[in-house]
Amino acid sequence: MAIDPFGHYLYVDEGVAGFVAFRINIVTGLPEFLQGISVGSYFDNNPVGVCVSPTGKFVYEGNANGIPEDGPMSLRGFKVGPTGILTLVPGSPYFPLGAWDFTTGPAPQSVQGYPSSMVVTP
Amino acid sequence: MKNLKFTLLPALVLIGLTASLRAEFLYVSYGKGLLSFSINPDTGSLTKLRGTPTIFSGGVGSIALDHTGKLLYASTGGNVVSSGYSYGPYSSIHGYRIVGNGQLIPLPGSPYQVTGGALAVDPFNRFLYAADYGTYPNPGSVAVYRIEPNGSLKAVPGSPFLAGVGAYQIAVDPFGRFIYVVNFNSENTSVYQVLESGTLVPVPGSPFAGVTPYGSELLTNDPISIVADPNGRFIYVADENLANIVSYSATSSGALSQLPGSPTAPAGPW
Repeated sequence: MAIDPFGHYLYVDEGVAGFVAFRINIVTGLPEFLQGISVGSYFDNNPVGVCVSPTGKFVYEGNANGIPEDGPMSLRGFKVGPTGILTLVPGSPYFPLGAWDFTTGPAPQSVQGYPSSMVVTP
Repeated sequence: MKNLKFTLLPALVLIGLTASLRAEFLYVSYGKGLLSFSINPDTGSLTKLRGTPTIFSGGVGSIALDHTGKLLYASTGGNVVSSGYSYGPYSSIHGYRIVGNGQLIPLPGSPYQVTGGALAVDPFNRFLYAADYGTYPNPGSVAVYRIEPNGSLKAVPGSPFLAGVGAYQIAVDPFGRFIYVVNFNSENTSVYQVLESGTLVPVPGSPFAGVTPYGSELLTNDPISIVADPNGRFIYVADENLANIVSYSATSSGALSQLPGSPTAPAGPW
């Protein structure tokens, strides 16, 4: 889970359930649903980490090895729009350890990873 | 006042220009190693830095930046399974200086042979906090390390401090007064006041448990993640088993008070 630097949005990695953005009600403090992002294809499954750039302009989310747990690790980047809606940045999803055609069988351990902790420099 | 205005204006322009020209980098810990990327400032797209990933002999867990963005700390020496999931205990902390091109240069004396865990840095860069999950059913702990001028770490008096069972993640009050630690197995959140020395003192009423109404019952939440509102007004705790978010007001004493209308209803799958 991560919060943007202005306290406007909350981003929650929900594992197999997907990835969710909430807008924070500045009066009540309660998070209100804004956008749910599908786990998508096999490659995008299982969000386990999330971070926000210090400007609040970009959000990055890390995905573990899919379902079943034998796919490649991936990352997705999102641009935060004026209303908080997220859109994928060019090149997303990324497979920094290598992509894998899962139809040929389980991915090798060399491309598997669990990207649970992520930070962006100011 | 007139002179002050003339002095401030060029300084503000310079600060703005520096901020806009400075590159951003993304670092990702994935259990087996640490990945480094540069970020395109316009599109947000990622480019892997040369020499990445940095591979460790044991599992690498939580990573944290100081608030200048020039120092990075990583919990290392943990356990790791083939899929990359890593878990504690973490027997060391690696420290790095981030240079202009995003490369990581080891800090003097790194790796430090100290207990790691979930990491967070004090907003004034005084301390590095490390929440150690512990070994169930024994309680976990929070270690506090003073960040020396060269970035090296030195445990503060009394460190580590007792936490609940399954101390899992830390959030830091934006004013540096308190830290908040979610205890997964104890099903609550410990709040500590941070003294000038770095010593942690539990605030009155700590730990605090979030609850979710379920019919006529109140279920206790199993907290797994926590963040602090950067304005210092609210604390948000994500629950694993009930898949919801408990919101609290962050009081001036450090005590947590669950907000009316909280928790936010379960969401997904999407």
